[in-house]
Amino acid sequence: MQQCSCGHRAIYFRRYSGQHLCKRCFSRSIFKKFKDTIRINKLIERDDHVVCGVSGGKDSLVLLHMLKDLQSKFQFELSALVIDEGIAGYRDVSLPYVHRACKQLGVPLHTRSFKEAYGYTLDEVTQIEDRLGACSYCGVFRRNILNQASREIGGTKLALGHNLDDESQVILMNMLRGDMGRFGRTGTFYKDVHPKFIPRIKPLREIPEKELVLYAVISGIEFDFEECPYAHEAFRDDVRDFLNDMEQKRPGTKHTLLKTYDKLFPIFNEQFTPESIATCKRCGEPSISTLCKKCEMIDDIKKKKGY
Amino acid sequence: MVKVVLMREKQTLEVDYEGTIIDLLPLVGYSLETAVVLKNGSPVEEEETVGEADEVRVIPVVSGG
Ligand code: SF4
Ligand SMILES: [Zn+2]
Ligand SMILES: [Zn+2]
Repeated sequence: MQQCSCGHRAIYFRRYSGQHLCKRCFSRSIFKKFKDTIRINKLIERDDHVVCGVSGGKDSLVLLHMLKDLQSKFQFELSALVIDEGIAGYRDVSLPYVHRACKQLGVPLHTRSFKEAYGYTLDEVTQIEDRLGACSYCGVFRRNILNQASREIGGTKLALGHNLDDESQVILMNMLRGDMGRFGRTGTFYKDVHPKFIPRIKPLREIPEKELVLYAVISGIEFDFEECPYAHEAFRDDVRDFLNDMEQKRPGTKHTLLKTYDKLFPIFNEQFTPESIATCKRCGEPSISTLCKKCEMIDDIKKKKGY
Repeated sequence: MVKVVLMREKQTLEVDYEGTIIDLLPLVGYSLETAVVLKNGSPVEEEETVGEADEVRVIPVVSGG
């Protein structure tokens, strides 16, 4: 049995740093990482209104709890926002977790749905023939609603629960796909390129997914274990398995990948992100071209569905 | 027998096993990176051993969508 440096019994061995940690020191280290990421990158400033995107999964619920704790350290406003994509057997199961957490913490919760915003649930979209992967629609739609709703709520920052595993997977996927445009958009902070764009912050991006699960368990945060039925996209699964395999053999792999990316980020950002972003002529949201990706997708769905 | 409770699968297995948690995980479809383990209700380092009459809870490390 191993001991923590404080003398208590260790409950977690952090392989990438060689530390044996007790419950208390482990939880403190996670909160410190979260706080340092915010402080060093100036993710939240005094009097910001932070809108936390929550899903009912562990990442966003841990994020919401930590943001609530952070409020005792300095003054900012906090709201929660949940998107109901319309995924039967998944989102309807996780929504009660979100409601309970917000009630318990006293954080105002706002809800938006794909059905209400676009006329279709994600399940309905996936019924059309000759379609893209569910996550392609979901990602574009969710980004769109998150931004629009955050603005309506009066948010100045949109906080998302992306963890180290999510980030390292996306970096590697973009690299393997040669997607340079997206490459400049995975950093700590998205630069403000459009007046209607609410900057997105990711305070958990340096924390491994497994440590967030452990943190949730230790803190008594209840979360949903269900996985989205569309989650198993082959390419992402391969990248995830590869990174997990590497991490087990060579602890620290995920951190190194993220750190390397962060060093290169200023260059990518400069080279591959447009200086100013256009406005969609139909919906008025920030867009790369004159018709945004979301409106383009909706047109295509309407055509194929016939309504 | 080790009682292994798989939280996501909502399944309980009786596994004839004596050894570390690290080596138990692959036998039930998990690995160090994809599970958080509670031994008799508490988190422990996976180097710890489990055996007769122990209960192991396997909490999945799944991406939350
Ligand atoms: S796995 Fe894909 S479809 Fe499911 S919630 Fe995540 S992005 Fe949406
Ligand atoms: Zn300690
Ligand atoms: Zn549009």
